[in-house]
Amino acid sequence: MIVEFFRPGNSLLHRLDPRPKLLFLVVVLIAFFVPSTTWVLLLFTAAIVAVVAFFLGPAQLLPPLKSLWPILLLIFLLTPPFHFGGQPIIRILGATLVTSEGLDTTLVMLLRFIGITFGFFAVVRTVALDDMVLSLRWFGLPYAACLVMTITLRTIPSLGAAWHNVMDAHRLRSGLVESRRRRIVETYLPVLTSVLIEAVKGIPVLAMALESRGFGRRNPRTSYAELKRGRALAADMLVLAAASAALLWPAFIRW
Amino acid sequence: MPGDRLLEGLSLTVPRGGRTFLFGRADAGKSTLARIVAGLVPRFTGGALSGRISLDGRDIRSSPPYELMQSMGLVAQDSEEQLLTTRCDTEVAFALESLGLPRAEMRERVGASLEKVGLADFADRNPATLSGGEKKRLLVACLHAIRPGLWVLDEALGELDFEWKTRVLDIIAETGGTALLMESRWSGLAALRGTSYFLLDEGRKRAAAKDSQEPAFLAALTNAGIRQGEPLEPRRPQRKGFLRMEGLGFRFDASTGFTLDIESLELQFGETCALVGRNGSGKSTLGRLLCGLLRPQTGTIGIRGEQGYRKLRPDELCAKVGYLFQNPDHQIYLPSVREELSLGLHRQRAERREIEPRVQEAARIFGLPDLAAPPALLSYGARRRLQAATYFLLPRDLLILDEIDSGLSYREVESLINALASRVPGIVLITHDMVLARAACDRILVMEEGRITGDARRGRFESVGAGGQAETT
Repeated sequence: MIVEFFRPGNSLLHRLDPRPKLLFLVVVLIAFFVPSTTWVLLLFTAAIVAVVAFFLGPAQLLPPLKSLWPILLLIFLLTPPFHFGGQPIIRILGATLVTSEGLDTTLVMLLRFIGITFGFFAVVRTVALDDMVLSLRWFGLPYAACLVMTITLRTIPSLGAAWHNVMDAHRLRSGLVESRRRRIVETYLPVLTSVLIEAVKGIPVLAMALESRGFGRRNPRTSYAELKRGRALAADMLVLAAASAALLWPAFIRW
Repeated sequence: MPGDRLLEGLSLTVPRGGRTFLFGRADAGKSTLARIVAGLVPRFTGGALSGRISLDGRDIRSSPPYELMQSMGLVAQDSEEQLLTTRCDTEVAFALESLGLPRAEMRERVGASLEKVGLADFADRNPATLSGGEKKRLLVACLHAIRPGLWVLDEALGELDFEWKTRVLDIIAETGGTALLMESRWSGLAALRGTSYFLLDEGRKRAAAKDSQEPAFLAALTNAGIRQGEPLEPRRPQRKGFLRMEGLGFRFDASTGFTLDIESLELQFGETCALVGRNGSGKSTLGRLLCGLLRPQTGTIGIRGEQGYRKLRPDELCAKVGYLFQNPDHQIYLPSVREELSLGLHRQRAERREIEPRVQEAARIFGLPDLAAPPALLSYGARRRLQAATYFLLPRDLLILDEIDSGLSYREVESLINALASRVPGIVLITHDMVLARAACDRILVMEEGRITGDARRGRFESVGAGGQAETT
């Protein structure tokens, strides 16, 4: 989640305005689905990974890979057997398991997953939630929708923390640290129940907090945070427009 | 419970510019009253409210909370309930944005308010990462930025040390505001800074005073268990150690800079021990090490058996040491009080015919209502008692009570400790209240920056500092 991913910093990626970064994400999505060669996708993916490693540090490559690896493994194992075109590459007992087309499709899917994930990661790692919401408001999303998004993104990590607290409480009450290995119903159902009770109890409490702080007033709401304006915004737009052009050029070439 | 009458015939006048303390036990109706005054009850909770609440002569019952925000503000007992954003400065600015203030004025007010509560360097920090005391100060900053006429503090100062408690009252006075403080225990703060006092019991006003030394009022507080009476009879602990820590070392990660370092510490059989110290001194970390939720990087924890001390692994400690969390809702989850109480007995494979009498005994000792009642709908005090009763029925050598005194009167805490001490060889009470520690415990351990810096037994309590918790009574 954005709240958990964001890390304050002063890199070039941090300094860029979030609005062109969000637009650039759209370009990344398009670029990875524009018909082009596997080599071009490989180049794009390598470029995005290199940008993350260069500006945020090589250690920052690990968090997205940690969450991605099960999906990547599934793609790697399950895609090739369902593609039969091209030259056979691996045959066992007369049956073709991997063909050149299967291998190529697998590689394309892997590169798309990695490239798009790192693209999103570069944005959410460098944009604070409040700036993200402000940008979405700038793009025309209503304030109430942005507030729902803010509260949702803030609440999910809180519920995650509550889950761990409740888990600890139940482990101590049952006296079983190894309860993680016990039956799922016995271990997780009580924890889930406690967290759900806490979440449901929190609904009116959240409404109270919002109205106590003025949510619902009829006067126009102002904004404390401020995004870039004028030349600074234009400069950021230009930088990311150039990067977008570099990503989209394969769409205009006849392969 | 639905249908119960929470407040009845209540008539109070809070003088402008003063500091009014409203005392009451856990289920006296303080939080409900605080929310009524803030316009939140019955708007969000249902129920029927009759009577009149006026502020400066204006009836406020028909105004929604967002129209009252400049007239009054509430700091709740649980800070998590009120935090909305992911940065401290935007948290303070939220209400100012609602008021539609210009950005320049908001910046000025946010900066001044954070500075006032000592959080100027925390502007871009996520409030979720602050300590309990810092969260309370942040919520005070949120109100300071709006400068309401009436500040309602519902057990809001509990996690602050004495210096910050007095500073918060000074901050309110500087803004010209009136403070209404809901408290479950009489404290040095009330004695020194209060201007008027009320005692609430079972939803009614039982006593009132204008002077903190008025004997009749103090007697009423003592009778209600809100003011500390005579210290508890010592339990005469056997001078025989039963749990020992040696060379215990723990650190979270390098970025926090916190290191826990306990060279050697032994708890004695039958001892109720208070663990006191400022926020962040390491009290809860030590508690979590003792019950096996955290694994120490160095050192050992051992419990005495027939063959002397035996070092225990974290998973073994988990079955020997219990931990009552600050939030009782984390530990209760079944549909009825009976099921909550009997769960531990079922897991111990107790005989079926033994279970019901033991459940009924625990319910009687801890003053629990109907065994068929759903725990989630019980009052805060009853949920706290149920949480303690579940551990009363579990075989544990040591119980760690992590700030279970929050929101409870002296009498309520003492009766919980007494009941648990009748079954459990050792109790460690983590608290910020030195009055309670001195009255209810046989030994006080003071923690500062991850180390035990003071250790005294009953009769020699004055020889230890209080780790920043000192307050007069």
